[in-house]
Amino acid sequence: MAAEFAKFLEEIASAAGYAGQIVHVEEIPARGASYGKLAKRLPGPIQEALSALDIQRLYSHQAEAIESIRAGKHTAIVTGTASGKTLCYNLPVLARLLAKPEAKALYLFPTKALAQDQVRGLRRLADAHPELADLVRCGTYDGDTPGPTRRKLRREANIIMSNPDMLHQGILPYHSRWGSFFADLDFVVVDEIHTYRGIFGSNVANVLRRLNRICRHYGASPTYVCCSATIANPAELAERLVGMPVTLVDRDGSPRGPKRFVLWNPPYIDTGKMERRSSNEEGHRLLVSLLRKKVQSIAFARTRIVAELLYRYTAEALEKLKPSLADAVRPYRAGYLPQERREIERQLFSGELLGVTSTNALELGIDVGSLDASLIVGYPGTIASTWQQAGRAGRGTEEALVVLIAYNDPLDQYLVLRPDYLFGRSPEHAVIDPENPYLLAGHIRCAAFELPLRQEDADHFGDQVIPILEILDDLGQVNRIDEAWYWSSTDYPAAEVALRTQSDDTYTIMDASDGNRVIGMVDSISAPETVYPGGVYLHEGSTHLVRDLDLEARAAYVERQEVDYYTQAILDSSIRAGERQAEKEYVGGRLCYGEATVTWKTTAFKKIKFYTQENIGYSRLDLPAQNLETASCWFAPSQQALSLVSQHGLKPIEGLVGIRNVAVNMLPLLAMCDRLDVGGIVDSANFGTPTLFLYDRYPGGLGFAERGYKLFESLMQECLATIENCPCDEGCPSCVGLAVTQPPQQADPDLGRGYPVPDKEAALVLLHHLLGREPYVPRRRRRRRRRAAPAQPPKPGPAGGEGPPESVSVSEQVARRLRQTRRHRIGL
Amino acid sequence: MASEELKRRISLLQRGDSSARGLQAARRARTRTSADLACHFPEGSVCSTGRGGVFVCEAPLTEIYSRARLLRRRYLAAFRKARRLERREELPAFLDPLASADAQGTALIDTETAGLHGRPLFMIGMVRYRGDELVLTQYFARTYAEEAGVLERLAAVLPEVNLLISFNGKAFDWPFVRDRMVYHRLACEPGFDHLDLLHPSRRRWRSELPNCKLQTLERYLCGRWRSSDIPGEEIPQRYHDFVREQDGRLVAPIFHHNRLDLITMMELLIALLDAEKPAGEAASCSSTSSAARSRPRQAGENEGVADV
Repeated sequence: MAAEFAKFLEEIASAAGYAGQIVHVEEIPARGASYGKLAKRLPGPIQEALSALDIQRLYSHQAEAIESIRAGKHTAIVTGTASGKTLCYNLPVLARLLAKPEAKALYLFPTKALAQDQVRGLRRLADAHPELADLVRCGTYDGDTPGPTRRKLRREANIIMSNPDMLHQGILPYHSRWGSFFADLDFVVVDEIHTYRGIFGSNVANVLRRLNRICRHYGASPTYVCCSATIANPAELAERLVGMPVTLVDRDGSPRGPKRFVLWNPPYIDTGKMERRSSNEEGHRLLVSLLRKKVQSIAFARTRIVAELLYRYTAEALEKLKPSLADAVRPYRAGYLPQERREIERQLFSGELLGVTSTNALELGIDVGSLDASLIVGYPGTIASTWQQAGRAGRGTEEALVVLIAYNDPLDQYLVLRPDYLFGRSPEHAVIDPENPYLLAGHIRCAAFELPLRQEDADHFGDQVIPILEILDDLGQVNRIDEAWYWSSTDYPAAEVALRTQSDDTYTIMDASDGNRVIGMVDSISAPETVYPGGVYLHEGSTHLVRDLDLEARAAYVERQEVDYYTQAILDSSIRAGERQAEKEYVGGRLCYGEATVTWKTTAFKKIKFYTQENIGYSRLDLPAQNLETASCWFAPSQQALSLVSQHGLKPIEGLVGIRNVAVNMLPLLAMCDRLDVGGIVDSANFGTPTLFLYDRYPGGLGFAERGYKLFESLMQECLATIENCPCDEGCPSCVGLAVTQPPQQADPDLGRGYPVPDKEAALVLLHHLLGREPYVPRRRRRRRRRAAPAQPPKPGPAGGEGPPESVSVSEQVARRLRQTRRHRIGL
Repeated sequence: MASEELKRRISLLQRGDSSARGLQAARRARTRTSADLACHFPEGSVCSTGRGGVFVCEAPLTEIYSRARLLRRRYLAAFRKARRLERREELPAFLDPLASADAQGTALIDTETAGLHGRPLFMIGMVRYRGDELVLTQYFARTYAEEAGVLERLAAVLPEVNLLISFNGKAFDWPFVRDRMVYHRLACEPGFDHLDLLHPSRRRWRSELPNCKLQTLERYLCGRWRSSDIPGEEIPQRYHDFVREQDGRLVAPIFHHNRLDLITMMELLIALLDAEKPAGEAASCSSTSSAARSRPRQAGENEGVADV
């Protein structure tokens, strides 16, 4: 297929019915391989194993990483997909085992599936030489590992593959069972560190500090090897995670074929230029064309249902056009049974499968080999994810094709119409805060359970350790004896700390027409919007009617039935302010901090016909609401402020929505968390006046909204600076978000709930008033967007030391954070 | 997050509220050190080890158990009988460790811990022969810091032991001890046989008794009924309370409980040998020949085990 993608695109563009979908083609040039040499050759068995696997030379980044790891330096490796990152750590680990057979290594992956994949990968390498095959005793140690296997692994394994959750709950608290393992632990590999962001990342950082402490106790000081996909700050993230300085290896020496990155916009289907052809349809058509040309391809969907739809449409089209290929494509997503997923991965790797439609579940580094083309149906939400998904295409030096198909929503439209925005931006920053006192307290309890804490532990966990220990002592949970704090409670603290914000509670989905055979799983949060009674559950493209959702048994009963529609849940979310803990009066309104309950529920569903997307039915549902009890800060502008906006003919709520959209990106900078750890809602139902709520997306709260309350003025200053400095005319993903000029694709008119449009001018009026600036006079609305030379927005007045000292560095970060785009949706 | 209170206090701390820390000052002033612990224990002495002090409570069995002499005779007889059976190749396989053992090199062991795996161990009780006396020794950690000393004492004694007798010690006590030794980085190379009485007891009495817990066996085989013994599940919390309060009354029942368990283990060993009735030989002691026939009698709860 090499070099034929240009022709392929030409064919498309010249075909009858082509309507100018290709709006941009970014040509990413090929890069030659660059090789490196090791100062000291690898041991013979390893060289022979590599030769047997047809690896003759090491890429420069591999050599650089191996040298660094050999020198005992903690190392962070950031190179592209399929650049041979695993060799960077597997080779030095194997070399150490040859020299020191009792050495041990611990590999951590964010998912169990990745750990299993890595066991297979390492086995392939080790089995290439008999000496290595004998030497390597590895296995996955996670929640699925049966008891006898666990004992065997603890006794015999020298390379353990696990995940942070298991390390936290199943290994560290029982470290004495692992005594000799920790005493000889020479390497800790932490892969896919870019997934350890925000709350999850802060928790993992604390788990690693606990791990380091246990290692010190047994006299080991392992070398850390971290691997990451491309993010803006990999070295910084790695250092924060492992709590020690790291050496960065990021000059990718692997060769790369040329890549064509196409931005594809579905054509208008009405003369009024309001509605575009369905992106799912464009996606499956494109996938069918590629598969018919025998191009191995992956189509990434934003949601599970779309992955199913793309598969169904593609398989049905192939059935008609080329039946021999209909079985060569399968869908892949979370919720399939593990063995189903393993099978699909294997088939993809072996080439049995020509195509796969997937959610971002295949974005992480499961080794499915490289594919020729990647279709990204809908912007995945971040620049980093986009490049990860694009990276699935590209086999060595061969040519690859990536197509980003836009949805008809403001953010996607913005991106495909402004290629510079997408191709010019560096990926997002990953932020963690291991010293968040609320998270830290949980880990201090776990650490005390594991080994008594001493003054010097503050060197690793931070200065807050001692005050937290003193509080725990007061509460009878630890007991200070001499100079150490001992765990002194019958509680098991690790059970009370969940590393991830998502619960790992799952519902099983059973086929009632087939003896209640388990066909899939769904996490408990998503269950009410995936398997509601009367709905259609799509599994491998087949329709199953949902008969019953048993909330107590955590089970959904479905029945295989062929119908010509799928269903779409309609969700309603709201926030209710609870007890206030603090409040302040501002010029422009009242700010409060306190408890809040965020509620969402599936209230109804629509039946939607396949292909035509006709709405053919609607049913109300009576499912219990799901609640998040958390902490929030809320700001209600005064009547004076509201009328100030109205005087200009603008809508206050639209200004507030604009501020919300910026604030949910700014607050994470002040509170040191991930964008997805906080939420924002503009609501009028609580106080009868539009109110901006910012809340922690974590039960009980973790201090993010608390920080928003404390630093509200700086937060608002940052919001103002961001909006003022943004050169756009009417709002863009970098500031207040986009004005929605058409209803969202699948909004339901029955709901009768309009979406407030973010309004840049109204936001500026409010912010100026709130911060006591000179009143802002809004510009007149422009009829048309001007591409060149946008009107210069007014410069922000000098703040004159109004903000706290940290606002300086925050401003710098804000500029970087602008790359964070956001979904434009109420309640995000 | 563990508790609302913890969250509230951290929140106060975040807002720089001095009251969050104020309480600490008072506490710090009365921080205990292991050196000045008050002892309200049974008679015993503080013994220093390479890993800090440890409290040792030691007494000949005759001083703490009214029927110690009889018990000793039957205990010695059990060993003799085991050897006799062995010579005739009639000793059941599950009692094998007794074949080559003598009472001199045997230790009965029972540990008390602050919960299941990963928690501290705070007491090791042992019965061993010294001279011609059976001596019951309890090593006790008055604080968590003394656990290492308790284990160090055990490690010092173990080389003299060639048979360890426990009840459920293969699954619980010994792995627990071994893990805690790893925890404290103490060397420990077991050079002894281990006879866990749970398994032979199960074989022998499973079909006759409701279950084979130590206290059930005790009731049916020894006819002893503990009415106010501390329930096992309360022991961890009791110990944590003790470490905080240093009031010996809190742990005295645990010392007692541990002693009873050890004495019952001796009786269990005797009963197991009694139950072996080789042809032509009468039981060497008769009182507990058949479990099914002997009904538990409501004996005085302590039945002569001196209170501590």
